[in-house]
Amino acid sequence: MTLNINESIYKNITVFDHSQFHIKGVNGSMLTREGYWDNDYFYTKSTNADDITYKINKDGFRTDNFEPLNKDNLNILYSGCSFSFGQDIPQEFRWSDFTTEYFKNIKDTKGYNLSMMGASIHLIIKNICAFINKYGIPDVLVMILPDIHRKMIYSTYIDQFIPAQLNFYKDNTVDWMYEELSKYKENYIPQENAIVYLTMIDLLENIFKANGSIFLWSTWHIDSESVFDNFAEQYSSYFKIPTSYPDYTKKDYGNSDVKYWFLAGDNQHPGGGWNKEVSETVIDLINKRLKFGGK
Amino acid sequence: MAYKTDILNNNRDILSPNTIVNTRMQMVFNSNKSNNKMDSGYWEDDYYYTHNVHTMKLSIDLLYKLNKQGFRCNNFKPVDKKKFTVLYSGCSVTFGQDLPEEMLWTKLITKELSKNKDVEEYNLSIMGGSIFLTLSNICAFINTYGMPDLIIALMPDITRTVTFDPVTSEFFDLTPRTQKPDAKNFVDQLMPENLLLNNLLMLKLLELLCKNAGSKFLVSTYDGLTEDCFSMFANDLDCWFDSKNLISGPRSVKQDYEEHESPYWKIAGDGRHPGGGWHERFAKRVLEVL
Repeated sequence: MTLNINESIYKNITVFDHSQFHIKGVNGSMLTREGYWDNDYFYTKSTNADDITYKINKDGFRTDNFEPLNKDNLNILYSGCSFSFGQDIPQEFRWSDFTTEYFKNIKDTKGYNLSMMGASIHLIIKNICAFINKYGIPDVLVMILPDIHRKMIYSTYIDQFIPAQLNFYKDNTVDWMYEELSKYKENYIPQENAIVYLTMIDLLENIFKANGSIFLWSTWHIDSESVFDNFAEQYSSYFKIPTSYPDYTKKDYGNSDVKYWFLAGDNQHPGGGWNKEVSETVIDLINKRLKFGGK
Repeated sequence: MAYKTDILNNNRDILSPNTIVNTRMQMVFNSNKSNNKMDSGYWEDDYYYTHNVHTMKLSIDLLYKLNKQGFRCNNFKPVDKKKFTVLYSGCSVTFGQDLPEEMLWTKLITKELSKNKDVEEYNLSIMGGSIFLTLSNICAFINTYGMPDLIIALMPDITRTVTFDPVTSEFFDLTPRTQKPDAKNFVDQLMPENLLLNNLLMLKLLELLCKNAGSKFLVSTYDGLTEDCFSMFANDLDCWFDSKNLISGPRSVKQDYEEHESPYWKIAGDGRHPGGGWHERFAKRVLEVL
């Protein structure tokens, strides 16, 4: 067996590349390509909610530009997929932003959001790892994970890693990508993803324990939940969010007159109500673990 | 989709981060699935003693002394903070397949460290083990027994992995270079780049854990392909060190080793695994890095 080793390929898989793909519209065109740079940030319209502008940092994330962590702050790192990126909702409606705002009232707090639309658990953990390497270990890390079926896979068509998942459509997928994803789907064995992800999450939990930092993680997806719930006793960092997909699409979150509160602009992703609910759970868990306590 | 609990729950033990998995050794002890690598043995003082088939051909009585969980080391205990605990891990090379225990590179390192420390050592190596299994077992050891002061892993080729057979609903070790024909489908679907990505990420996470826990972590390989891949990331992985001219396989056989009274000095009893001479040189390399 030969391995297609290309140093530049591996070197280029850094924390930020996949996010940049999205912005460039190479993969799925989740963000519109048109936008403008202003003061080191890239501004671009949400595709399904024209009145929402995504403010993207230099590295392609919807958060402030990354800087080495200031030890005097309460540093919180959030990560996940489109649910945590805040696809088609205003930035201030994200569970991460509700959480940061809450803690800013107690202590100088800096929150960074590493979420990426379409991200797999694989990529989420890889990016966290790269963030830690570069900027340090935050005081708190919270991840809300997608389904376990997503994965980063190597594509021989473009000699690069691509994000793979089981839900894709021929109409909006380029031919080579469609073939790669079809192959992935055909050979997909969920247990193989599960064993890798469970081990990686275990390592993350141990890293944060060893550093005396807080680590919390959950999932919005019922397939992932059905796996993770089995091992809940072994992960002190695992928690359940109040409402998983698709239940949030039926839940009354009040504020019915507030746009994007019930659902996001694409009518699929959760709105501000779900995000507020998640943030309340997260805040409560962080407060229980933080020495200075809540408000 | 029917990817639900029942499928995964059947494999709860192997999926659990707290379980140290010894799939190969378990096969050895199960007579129905015996791969004839070892003959039957006997239990004594909480250890299992078993002969090695290949070395018996040389009419030399080489016994493997295995702990309760099937590993070639003392029974696992919670890490004693008063001692300096070293955890070794790897595949058959570090297990010492067809080799007397005292010739293992792990034993030589422990001997050297013991000159000025009270050392407790454990060896998590498994014959046929993959990089993933090596690393996940280290994690399980840490979860169960605590953090060692030093972890050294010698990795096999990156194409090995732990994979899942939907027909039998069981995980198994996939070793493409020596796999039986019935695993051909799994080998054909293997994308080594994907395994490399997983392995690199796991290594980095374990490296971060060790740094934060104040432990030392070192990783190398005897395999040429793995060395080529990992050495690309030498700058990104503090744990990595190259094994220089100690890449094993056919090349190890050709290396010149001084004459030695042991028949296992140039090559192990199976004529395939590295012998005591190689282990001595690798131990020297590790001590250089330490």
